[in-house]
Amino acid sequence: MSLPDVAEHDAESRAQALGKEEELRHWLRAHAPVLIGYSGGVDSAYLAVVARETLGEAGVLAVIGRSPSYPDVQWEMARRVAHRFGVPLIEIDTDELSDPRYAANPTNRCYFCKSVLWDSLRPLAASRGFSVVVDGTNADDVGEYRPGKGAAAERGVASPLAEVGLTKDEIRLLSRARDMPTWSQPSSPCLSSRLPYGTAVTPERLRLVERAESALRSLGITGDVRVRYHDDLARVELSAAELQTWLEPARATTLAAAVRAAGFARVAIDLRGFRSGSLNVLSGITPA
Amino acid sequence: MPADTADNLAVLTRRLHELALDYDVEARGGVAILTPRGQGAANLEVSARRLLVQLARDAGFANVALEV
Repeated sequence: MSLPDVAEHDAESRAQALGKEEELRHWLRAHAPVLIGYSGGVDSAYLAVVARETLGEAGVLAVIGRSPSYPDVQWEMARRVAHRFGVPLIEIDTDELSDPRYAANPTNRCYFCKSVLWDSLRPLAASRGFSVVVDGTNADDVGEYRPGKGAAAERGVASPLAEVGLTKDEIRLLSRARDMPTWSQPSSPCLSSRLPYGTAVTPERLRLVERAESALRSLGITGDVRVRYHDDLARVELSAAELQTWLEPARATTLAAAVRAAGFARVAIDLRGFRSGSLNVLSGITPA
Repeated sequence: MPADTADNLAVLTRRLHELALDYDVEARGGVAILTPRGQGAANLEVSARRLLVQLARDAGFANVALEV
């Protein structure tokens, strides 16, 4: 479902989403207090706000695991949402790049990243008296290739959004009803996802991608944007709404100049446009 | 370069030539990178974009991008 469709949700869909939200509240009351692995993305932001509404300030703690593989803008949004909705928040540093198994960028890279995160959050939860650690996995995520889920499952991390069947579209709808700024936010996987599997993850490469994507946003490009790293060449994926516009020669030149200024030598626009997990396709993990 | 990638490149290059589409082609992983020669980048309409995607996929590439 596209974002405009969210606004056009029919009454039945809204009622269904609200019913699942009520189930979520039951779940949270049954497991309180909860510590949330919080990124400020659409899902974990919604979960944190509903937990705060349901359990009060003492019943929830959102924890940002600050990682070099996320852009700074992500943490700024996370802090802003927590502050506005009164969600207690702390930040800890994670350093998955120091794990050579992660830095080598295998297809199960996310497993090692999430292992570092949950191994940091579980003792924190125990020391502060939190009953359960939860994440923002939603019902749509369940069938996808997500090796990070394995790390969560091994450590007893719960996924209440998925358990009550809340989908991404429903989470956007319910977030919008609260006037949360995240409701229309594009999905925001970590910057390491821009590097092909087997290409080592380094702070320099992550910052290069971050600068290039920020430069594209500065041009006014909205929606899903990805800069895929291919050594000296940046492959830019744009949403369907933006793609044809930026293939127009004058605009393409502007786009290329912005990405070059960020540090890439060459720039190419992906002719299929943005697709979630497109590097999984290139690796044969998911079909084209 | 793996043999299958070289084959994909050869097939796509030949098809582009047959259709008088003036691009240099290189492979980056499973992606074909097309670099226009001369004025080839001008106003790539939707139908032309779809044709390039289809040609690349038929040649064995998972994806195709246009250098700008």
